Amino acid sequence: MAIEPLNTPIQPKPTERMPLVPLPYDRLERVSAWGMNTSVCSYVYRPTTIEGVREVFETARTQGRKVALRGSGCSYGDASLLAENISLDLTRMNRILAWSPETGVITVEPGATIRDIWRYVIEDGWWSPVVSGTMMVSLGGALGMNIHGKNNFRVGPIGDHVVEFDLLTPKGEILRCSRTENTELFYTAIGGFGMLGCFVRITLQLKKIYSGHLSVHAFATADLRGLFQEFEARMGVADYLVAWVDCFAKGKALGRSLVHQADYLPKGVDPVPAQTLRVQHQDLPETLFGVIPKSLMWRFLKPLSIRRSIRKVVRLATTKPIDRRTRHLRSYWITYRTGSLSISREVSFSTRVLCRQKRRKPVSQPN
Amino acid sequence: MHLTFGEQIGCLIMPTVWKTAIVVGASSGIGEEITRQLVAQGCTVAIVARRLQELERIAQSLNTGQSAKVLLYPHDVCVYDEVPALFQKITHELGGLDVIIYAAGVMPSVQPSEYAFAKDRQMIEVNLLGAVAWFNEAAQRFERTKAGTIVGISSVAGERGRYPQPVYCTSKAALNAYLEALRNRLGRFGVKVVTIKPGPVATPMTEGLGKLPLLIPVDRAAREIIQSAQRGKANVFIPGIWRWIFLIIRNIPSFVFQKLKF
Ligand SMILES: Cc1cc2nc3c(=O)[nH]c(=O)nc-3n(C[C@H](O)[C@H](O)[C@H](O)COP(=O)(O)OP(=O)(O)OC[C@H]3O[C@@H](n4cnc5c(N)ncnc54)[C@H](O)[C@@H]3O)c2cc1C
Ligand SMILES: NC(=O)c1ccc[n+]([C@@H]2O[C@H](COP(=O)([O-])OP(=O)(O)OC[C@H]3O[C@@H](n4cnc5c(N)ncnc54)[C@H](OP(=O)(O)O)[C@@H]3O)[C@@H](O)[C@H]2O)c1
Repeated sequence: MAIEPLNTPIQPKPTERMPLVPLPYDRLERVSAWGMNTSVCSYVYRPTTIEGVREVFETARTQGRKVALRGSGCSYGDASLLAENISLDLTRMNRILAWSPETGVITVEPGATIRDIWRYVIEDGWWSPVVSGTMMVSLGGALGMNIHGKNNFRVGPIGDHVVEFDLLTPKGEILRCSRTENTELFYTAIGGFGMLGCFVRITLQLKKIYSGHLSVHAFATADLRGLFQEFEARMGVADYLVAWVDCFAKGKALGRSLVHQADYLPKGVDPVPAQTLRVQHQDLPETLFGVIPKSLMWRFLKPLSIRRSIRKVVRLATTKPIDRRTRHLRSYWITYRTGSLSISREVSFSTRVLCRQKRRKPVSQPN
Repeated sequence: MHLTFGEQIGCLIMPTVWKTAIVVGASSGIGEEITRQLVAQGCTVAIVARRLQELERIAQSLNTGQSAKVLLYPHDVCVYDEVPALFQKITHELGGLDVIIYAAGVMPSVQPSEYAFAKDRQMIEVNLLGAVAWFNEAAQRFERTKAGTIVGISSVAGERGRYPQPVYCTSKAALNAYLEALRNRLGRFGVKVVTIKPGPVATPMTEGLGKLPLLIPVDRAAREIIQSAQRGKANVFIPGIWRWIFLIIRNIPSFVFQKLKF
């Protein structure tokens, strides 16, 4: 089928080349990429219905503008930006349209985020099969970029879990795409950078879980070779694997890392799933030790988050006696809350860097 | 909405780089020279004026590289209805807008006892109303995007109502008041509004007017205009000496001023 790319200019008829009614100024906004290093001015439209999206396409056509689709705007680069053109922001189209707790199949509008989804379904015992480093991404953006999680080696990217979707093409048609219908478009629009049309309805197969906890095993590897060996060995069994690499390590110690392996709990292991699967149970406390607000922590840790002090913390962690370390490792089999696998929302980045460095302990110490 | 203290400091110490500009009245004189200097700085400039062949001459001499650094838009600033759509078309084609400079202006010769409404009207329309039409668009845009510079080329003539040119002075005095009000409205959004008050500059406008005091070449005028606008100054006399001269002239009592033909 002929697919008309969205980002080639929608050619206006010659008489319409200079629109008599310009786009309204109250639409003009500064739109920036997630990294806040690039920003552009565009006319932002935030429709709430498919009809609204269609109208925006029509406006673009009559005004001779291009359209950039934008979900949560979490892409690091300028994927969702287009200077002086139309920014079609889908965050207000975030309704959950259908949910079946028996099959775990959910249908949502494209602006719904992964966070919206898991909060909606977790009490029924389901979880998003793929969660990226942030769970604020919209499902439209997640499909547009075909995002992956820290379980990519097991379950593949999010596109592998899409049952079907409706795509609104620049011509204004709605095409239902699945593995059996409009297949070519199904496979190209997922990971298509929003160039082929706008996802307006997405159906996703979720993952059954039996507890709100994961079993997490944290251990350290001494170097790059060790890191790869551990990953190779665990790829077939672990549900999630993530390594935090110590970037200060040089020479033989290059690639020294703290590795977390996390696994879903099988049925029956969690004695109180109804409790651990509650949404509130997944929310991390907003204070540390019940008193210090986490929102303030970064101020205390910021002065320490410099190269020298982080290096010190790392060295301290690596020179601790062996027996203490083993004891610690033995007792490291703790359960983590599922929610905290995604990027922690309250703790600032610098705090996390420090915590990671503190926790890092090698298995074997080079003598 | 307002700039934080850090952002204000940032504005002070960061050198301003303009990537995109509109120059209205760019087909000759000060506007043309500003265009040339901006292009030399690497800026892409949209040039606006009535005479297409003049615009083409400028574009031809400047668009020598691979990408067009000058885009041209023939337009009569007195056709106010055209401005909103044209302004948006230009920002679209420029891919943004950092600064707008209004250099269009007319100063027909007026005899001491001549009261020609047609000339007067043209001065008000080109020097004042055209500027209002263009800057109103820029103001709305810059307020929304919380950045941008508006540069109005006024004149020292706006400092007092003087014998030879009643309406030229009026148009420039009104432009000054308008620009000051814009500055008061937009300053809180981080937008800079710059009033430029040149003394005599050697351009087609001043050709044949005889020997003028402190006449400066146009490239110097353009350079000083760009420099002070990039620093975000509010009121700038070009050259600076006029500030002190007009401090005195402004304070000449009316009964003395009436006796002068200055
Ligand atoms: C802290 C952080 C951690 C991250 N970690 C990971 C990670 O672990 N794994 C990973 O894969 N990515 C990760 N990312 C990247 C992020 O997941 C992707 O950039 C994702 O596409 C962002 O989704 P979004 O809703 O913000 O989309 P946007 O950034 O708004 O848009 C992304 C693209 O999708 C298109 N698009 C948006 N909505 C639609 C729609 N309705 N129809 C069609 N196209 C559309 C846009 O045109 C654009 O090209 C991370 C990002 C951050 C900020
Ligand atoms: N030169 C001086 O000594 C001096 C001193 C103080 C202030 N100024 C001011 O500086 C500004 C520029 O002066 P200049 O010396 O450069 O004059 P200039 O050489 O005569 O240039 C005037 C410009 O204005 C444009 N213009 C005039 N009427 C227009 C209209 N109706 N629509 C669109 N553009 C129009 C002209 O272009 P087209 O004719 O092609 O339309 C031309 O590009 C004026 O505002 C002037 O008042 C000049």
